[in-house]
Amino acid sequence: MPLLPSPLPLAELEVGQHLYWQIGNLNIHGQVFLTSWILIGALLLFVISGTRRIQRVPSGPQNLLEFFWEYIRNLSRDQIGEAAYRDWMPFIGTLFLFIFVSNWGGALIPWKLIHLPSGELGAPTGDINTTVALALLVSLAYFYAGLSRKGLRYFEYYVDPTPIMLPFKIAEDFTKPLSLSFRLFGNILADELVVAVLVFLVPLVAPLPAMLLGLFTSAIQALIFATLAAYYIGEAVHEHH
Amino acid sequence: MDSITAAASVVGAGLAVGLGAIGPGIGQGSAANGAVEGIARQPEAEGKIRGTLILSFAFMESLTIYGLVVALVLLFANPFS
Amino acid sequence: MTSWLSLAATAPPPEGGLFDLNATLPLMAVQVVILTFILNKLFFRPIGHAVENREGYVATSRSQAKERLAKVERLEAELKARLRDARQQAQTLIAEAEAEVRQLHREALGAAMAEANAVREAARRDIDKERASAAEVLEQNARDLGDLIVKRLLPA
Repeated sequence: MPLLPSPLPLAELEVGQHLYWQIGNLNIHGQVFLTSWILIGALLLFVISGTRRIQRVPSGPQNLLEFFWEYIRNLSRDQIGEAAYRDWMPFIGTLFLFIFVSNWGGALIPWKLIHLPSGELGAPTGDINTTVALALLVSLAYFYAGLSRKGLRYFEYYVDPTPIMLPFKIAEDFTKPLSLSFRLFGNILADELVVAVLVFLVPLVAPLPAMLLGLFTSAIQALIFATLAAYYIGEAVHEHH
Repeated sequence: MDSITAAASVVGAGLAVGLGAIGPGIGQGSAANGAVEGIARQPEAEGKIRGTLILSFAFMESLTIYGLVVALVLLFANPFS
Repeated sequence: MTSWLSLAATAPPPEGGLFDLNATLPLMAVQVVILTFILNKLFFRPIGHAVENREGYVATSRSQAKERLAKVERLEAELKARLRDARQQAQTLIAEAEAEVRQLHREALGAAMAEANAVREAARRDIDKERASAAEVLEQNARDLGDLIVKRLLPA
């Protein structure tokens, strides 16, 4: 449903419009995949350019990649613990990089210049499907981490201090993916909407502070998603005594 | 959508964000208070304190965002329309 | 009512909406899992190797440098000790030589003095002997003269 129609092509505000692709009798959101493929392609190109010739003294993109690597390692080591962080570092790092690239790519690339028959291009993380998918992956990951490391002893965690905690811990398993996905979705969508409304009101200069704030919160949201995913996994593999 | 539902939805959306912003606002204030005191007491720990502060800000911020999501549901995906 | 959680949308052009969950969700999940494996192979594994190799290299270089420094310090101490020993040895040698020289000097002096004494003694003895013989000759001459005088005076 188009909202706030405007004479300027840049300042059209659309919410909930999608470019539908049909595979069999399944509907998918084409614009999400288009942007995510472009951004993943850019990410992979950058990664390949940085790892093509690995040197002992790094330079250029390798430097940045190593910075990211160490950042992700420290994050996952702090949250998961020395014993298990190596197995989960790629997952945490992929979540961080994918969300970060999606958020910033959605905010920095002028997608509005590309016209689609329906819907508009934007950050892939501004679509509820993407964030729910990521959050459910985190849920699966921490269940798998706990079960593979501790076997059925994993379920001791549910009655850890007292059995009274059981319903709360079970409820947590549902609220964790819910809050993860809605936090990311809401933040990105809110940034996009704020910028769109400001562009609609004052097309020049005025939206810039909001866009900068949006970039900042986007990066923080990527960090938070990765930190929380690592924290949940760490909680699942943590040995109680 | 009849006009009463529309009006109630718009009012509800405004209240969802407005009321939802109160708690995190107070929380962020007291968190910043604690952080400033911590920095004043230990200026060398400023980097660590700032990182934790921003992270906890984002957590509080997400509470308002939940309110915003409810408002967006009421405005753009109203289940009663 | 807009499609709330319309996982299986049937109408060909779906209505859309903000919370339109559909097949995008599992496909996106699969895509992220594949991305995880690709990034693990392209990014995390090689960069991790590089960083850990470098950390190992730095650690071994540091320990080697520390070892070398310790060796140098040990050698320096050893050489210093040797130098001190050598100096001490030289000092004792000098002292010994000086003592020897003094000893020799004293001995030579003693020998020379003894010889001088001996020569003087011999000279005195010679002088005494000469004197004695001269006195004897003198006495003889005196006696001869006396005898001559007596003979001259007493022929008569």
